Amino acid sequence: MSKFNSILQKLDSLDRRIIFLIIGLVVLLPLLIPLNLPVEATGLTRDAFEAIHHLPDDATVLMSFEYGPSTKPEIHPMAVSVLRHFMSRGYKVVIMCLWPDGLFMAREAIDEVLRDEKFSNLVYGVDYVNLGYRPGNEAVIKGITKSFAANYTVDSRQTDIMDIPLMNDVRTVADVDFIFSLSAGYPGAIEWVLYASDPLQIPVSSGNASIQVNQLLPYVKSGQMQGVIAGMPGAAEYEALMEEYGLWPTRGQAAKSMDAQSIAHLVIVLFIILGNISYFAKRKSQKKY
Amino acid sequence: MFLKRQVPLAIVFIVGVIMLLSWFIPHEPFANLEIHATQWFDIIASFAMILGALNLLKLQGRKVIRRQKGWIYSLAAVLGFFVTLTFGFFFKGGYYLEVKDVGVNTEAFYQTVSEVTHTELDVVRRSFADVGEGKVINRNYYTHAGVLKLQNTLSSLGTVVEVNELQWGQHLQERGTFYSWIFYSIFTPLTSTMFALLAFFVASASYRAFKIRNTEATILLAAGIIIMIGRVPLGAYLTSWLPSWLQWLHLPRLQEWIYQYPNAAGARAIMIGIGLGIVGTSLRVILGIEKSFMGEK
Repeated sequence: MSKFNSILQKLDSLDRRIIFLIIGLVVLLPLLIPLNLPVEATGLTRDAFEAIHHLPDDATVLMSFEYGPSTKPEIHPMAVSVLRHFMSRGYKVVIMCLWPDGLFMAREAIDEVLRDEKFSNLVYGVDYVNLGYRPGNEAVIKGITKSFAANYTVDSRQTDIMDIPLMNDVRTVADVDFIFSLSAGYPGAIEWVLYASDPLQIPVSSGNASIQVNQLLPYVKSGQMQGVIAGMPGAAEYEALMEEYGLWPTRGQAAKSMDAQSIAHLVIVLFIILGNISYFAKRKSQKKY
Repeated sequence: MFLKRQVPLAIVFIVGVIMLLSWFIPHEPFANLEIHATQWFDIIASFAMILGALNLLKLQGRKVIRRQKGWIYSLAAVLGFFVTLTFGFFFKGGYYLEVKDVGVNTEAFYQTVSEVTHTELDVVRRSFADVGEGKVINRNYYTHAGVLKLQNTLSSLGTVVEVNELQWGQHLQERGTFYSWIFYSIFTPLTSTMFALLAFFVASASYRAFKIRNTEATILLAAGIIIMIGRVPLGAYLTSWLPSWLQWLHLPRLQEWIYQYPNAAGARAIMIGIGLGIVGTSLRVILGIEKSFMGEK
């Protein structure tokens, strides 16, 4: 018994390299051998999906990219799914970026979505436009509430904004029917609520890194945001909804990655339990002596 | 002293009061003040960027010259700064081909384009069948020599193509430019690696620090475990067997309840506190009580 106790106590000072190795393996293995765990959509994701799905057929939507490579695994799959959803429904899409890296992310998402034959008839400047990045954070949002042209003279392809047919109907952000912010921090979804959505009463929703969702929930609960897609699980749920509504036939990158995240979370929980067992064993023996 | 102290304070007071008033007066000249203010902000931010860059060079450069601890990292920062700046402003790359006439040997042309652009043959065929001449081959080259090689190959098939290069500005997002090479080949792997390492440190830290020491820690631990397992498909799978009268214990439901109620309540309280803090600090700045922005205590 005492030997067992001493093993438990030794666990408290377990070499961190063993923990790193185990985490590495539990992330890697499900990626190589998928488990295909079923994904169930939660209310937050479903609210965002429904809000987008039930916009008028001729809606114009604004999609803002505020993330970079560090949060790409979490946010990019939902960027692709949401853009695919917009285009499947036939909405006009105005894309802009408040982060410099967002420009690359937007470009990648557009390329990935347009690779499908279903969208081969979409015309740049008519069905969608990428305005690119402008510095200024929330000042840019505030600026476009008055005029796009004053803030964006050219788009990301260096085309004069006045020569873009889609922008003839979108003079200010008030001309869009929905805002969707893909955000990993500041400036991001909160700034869109504060400076555009609330003052002009434009519905807004957001896709975020998991860690950010806490800050956004008060806006969702108060009805200022139409649901929220929370991290990679949220992205996987959105992909499941796309499949459920017959908009996209296959599981996407997020759903595939959820197997790895599931097992990794389980292992971290097991580590926490093990850590506590060893903590109590140590405390018990300290009390004894 | 007057220029350094009274003038900035007066500017802050006047601009602050005008911007506050503009929120409540939707008529000229206040109505369009926001547009002018945001453009002013852009201009000032641009100058601040230059100041930031100079400050970075000054601090990191000093470390390198004096060979202080970690000077090698500072050298990497300085070199990275100049290399990115050079590729952003002076060498863009981004040479591409525009098809003027596909010619008669169409299948060989499609095959070559499919290979160089890594695109399925059917997609290339469809793409050029719809648009034909004037269509751009979707691959950019870093150098003129690189694009000439492809031009020669296509010319030998009877295709007429013209060499073009991306405009300044476009090179910031298109592949096949030096700037995007830095982004995709250096910046992306570095930042992704840094972020990915978090998983390992979170696991190690949880093992060592997440202990049931008191009631609060126990509640935090229970909520943390429910969120961690309930957020992932495994949580739904593990509790899918629960009978209908115990559905409230279904892990995804439990985690959503924690997210939406206790968590949202806490987050809202913090937000209200921050909001009141911002109002207070803004008033202090406008009224000249808070002078830390001028470097004063």
